Amino acid sequence: MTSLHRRCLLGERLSGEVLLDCHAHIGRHSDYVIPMNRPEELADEMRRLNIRGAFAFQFTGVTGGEVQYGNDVIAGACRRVPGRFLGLTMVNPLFERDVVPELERCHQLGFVGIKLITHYQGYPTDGPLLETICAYAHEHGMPVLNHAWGAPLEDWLRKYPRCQFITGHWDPAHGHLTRQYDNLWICTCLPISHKSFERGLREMRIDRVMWGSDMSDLQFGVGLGPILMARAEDDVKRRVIGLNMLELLATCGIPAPPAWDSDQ
Amino acid sequence: MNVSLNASQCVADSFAELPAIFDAYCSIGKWKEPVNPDFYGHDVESLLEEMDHKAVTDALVHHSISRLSHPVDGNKQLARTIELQPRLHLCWALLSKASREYNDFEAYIDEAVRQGVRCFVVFPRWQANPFGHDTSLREFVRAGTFHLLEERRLPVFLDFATRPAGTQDDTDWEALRFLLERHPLLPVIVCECRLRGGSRLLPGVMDDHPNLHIETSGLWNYMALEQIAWEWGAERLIYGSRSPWRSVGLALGMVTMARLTSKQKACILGGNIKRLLEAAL
Repeated sequence: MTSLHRRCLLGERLSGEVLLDCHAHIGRHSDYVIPMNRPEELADEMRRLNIRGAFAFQFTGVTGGEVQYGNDVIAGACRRVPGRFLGLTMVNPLFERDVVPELERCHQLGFVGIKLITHYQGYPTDGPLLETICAYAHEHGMPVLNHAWGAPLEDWLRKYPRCQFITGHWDPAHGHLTRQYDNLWICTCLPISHKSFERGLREMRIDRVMWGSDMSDLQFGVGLGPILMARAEDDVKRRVIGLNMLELLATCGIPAPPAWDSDQ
Repeated sequence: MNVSLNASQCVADSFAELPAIFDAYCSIGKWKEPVNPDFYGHDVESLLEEMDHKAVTDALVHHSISRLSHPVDGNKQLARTIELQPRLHLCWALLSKASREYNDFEAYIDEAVRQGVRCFVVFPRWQANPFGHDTSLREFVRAGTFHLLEERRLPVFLDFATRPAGTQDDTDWEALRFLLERHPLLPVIVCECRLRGGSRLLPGVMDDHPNLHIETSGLWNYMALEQIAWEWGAERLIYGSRSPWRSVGLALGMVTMARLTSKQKACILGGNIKRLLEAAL
């Protein structure tokens, strides 16, 4: 049993480790209850577990078209808890003429990247506006996290090397592309079945795997457990739970969230 | 409006030593499809290997045949398969008493208990559930299936899940109320592959029925596990992994890293199921 495995079983705060979360939501959801969902409460839970910060985006635009409202929720959270939430702008390509202006507006507000969830919104995964969005991210050296990338992913990885492509969810099927392209990152959310984390890890570059919690949809332990208790060395786990995202942030010139006072 | 709680409800600490872990819900046998291309489903060896790796001491097990083919066959096969495995414990599946498939339903329960069974599972049909035994929970109840179990305080797991690999919100909450109203002393443990929309229905049923417990593997939602412990008590939660369809790391991490005290977590991880099994007559 590795040290991180044991610490997870004990339920210890992972003091001394770097935890950064590449996939987090803030707000309310139409489908279910989210207790303790205020930005300050979410940050308090992050502090408890020693999670330094997270890419954060809205729920509103997952189930409806009012993405501006949802982006404002995120802007508010970033203001209320400075330095912990790194905002990603959500757009909905079905509302075509709003897309680029919303990217610009949120860029001015300090958002550091883009979140896509066209799979839920009903826009095709190879739709033309997605390439426009990737080109925008390439121009600004931004990460783009997409719930599910479609067939054009490899073309876009080649064409837009300054865009950092992040899979929204655990996606071993795209893992082999990490061996060819430095700008593809695989989010861990969520290795659901028996040994699926270990099995998927074999398909991809270890330094391109990033832990994503899907907070405040999912509880933190749900996604951390399969990593921390995996049959893997702690050095691999450390890369996954934070060090790889630290590299991504440096690549994009995004200031990394600082350690919590209690961990310095 | 926010669902917030006061600070005293949110205290957490860690274990000083590894906790005792009892997995109350996992299965062996092949299902309708492989769990993964290179892993078809647990046999005794793979289940014990996973338990050793995650420091799980004991597990209550049901067999895939009980679910997908026939409970009588599955229970028999389960008993044969885990015989001489002291860490694995029998969880037998039941059909409705009215199905005419038991010569003597009460004698079947007696025989189960004689063989060491201390809990049962039922898989009712709900909507188009292809894996249920084509019997609604209301019919299970109407037929008197649970009278003897209630009398002897034998816990019953209730699993409406349509597909083990990926469904959510399968529970028929109205039928569950019907069961709980008819059998207030029966320890009932609801299993969900993933509880989402049910988070708006669960509170009312939990308020009304103290004999309702929730198996934890489907409580992925943010603070869902914690909210149940804070509002209704950690004794209402039973740790189960749903392995192999769910990673034991996922199921365990959500409990060990939860915003709860080590005392609450110890109850969930094993104390509660042991208490229920020991109370069975």
